Amino acid sequence: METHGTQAQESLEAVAKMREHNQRRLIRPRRYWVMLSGMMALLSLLPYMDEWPFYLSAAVIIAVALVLVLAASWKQPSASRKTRFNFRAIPVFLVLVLGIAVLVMGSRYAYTGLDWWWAPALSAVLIFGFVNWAGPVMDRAWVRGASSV
Amino acid sequence: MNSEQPPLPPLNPVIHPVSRLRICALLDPVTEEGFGELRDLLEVSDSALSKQLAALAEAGYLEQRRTKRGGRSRVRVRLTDQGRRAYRTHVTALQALTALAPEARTTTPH
Repeated sequence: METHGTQAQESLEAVAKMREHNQRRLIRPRRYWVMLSGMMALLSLLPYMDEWPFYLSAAVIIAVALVLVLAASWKQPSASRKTRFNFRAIPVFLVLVLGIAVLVMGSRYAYTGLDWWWAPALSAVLIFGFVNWAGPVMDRAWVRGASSV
Repeated sequence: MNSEQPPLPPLNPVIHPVSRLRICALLDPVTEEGFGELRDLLEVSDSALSKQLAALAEAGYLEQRRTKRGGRSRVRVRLTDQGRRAYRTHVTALQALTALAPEARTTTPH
C-alpha cells in the first residue's frame, strides 16, 4: 500500500514539474505586452487627431497599428497562441477592457468638454502602465487555470 | 476502519506510465502541440516519443495530424476530449491515493 502511495507521489511530482514547465513556456514574452500597451495607449491619443484631415489620421493609425502588430507577433512563442480558453481568466480580461474603456472615454470627454489638453496624454500613459501590468497577470491566471486539475 | 472507506478510483493503466503522464500534462493546457516541441520538452528520442504517442492514440486519448507549412511537413498532437477526461480522472485518483497513502486500497494497474 505504501508503495502505491509512493508511486502516486512520484507521478504527481512528475505532473507538477510539467505544469511548472507549462507556466514558463505558455506565458507570452514581455515584449508582447509592451506592444499591446502601445496599441491601447494609441486609442487615448485619437482626440489629438480630431482636427486632422481624415486620410492623414487614418493613415497614421493604420501605420502605427501595423508596426505594433508586426512587432508583437515577432518571434512570439507558438504555444501561447494555443492555450485552451479558460473561464477563470474572464474577470481579469473584463477589468482590463473596462479600465481601458473608462480611461479612453474619460480623457476624450475631458479634452473636448473641459478643454484639458493634457488629459489624452495622461490617459495614454496610464493605459500603457495598466495593460503592461494587467496583461501578464491575466496571462498567468489563464495558464494556471488551464493546466490545473 | 478500512472496510468503511469508499474504494479509491482506479488508476488508468494507459496513462499511468510516467512518460505518458508527462505527455498528457504538457498537452492538457493547450489545444495542440508540435511533435518536435514535445520531444524537446520531454528530452526523449523521436522513436521513444512515437511509441508513447501510439499507445495513447490507440486508447483514443490522443490524435495526431500532419500539417504542411512553407514546404515543411510537421506532426501536431492533441489530447482528445476523452483523453483529457481520462488524464484528469487519473490525476484526481493519484491525489486521492497520496492523501490516503498509509491506508490506501487501490486497483493499481501493472
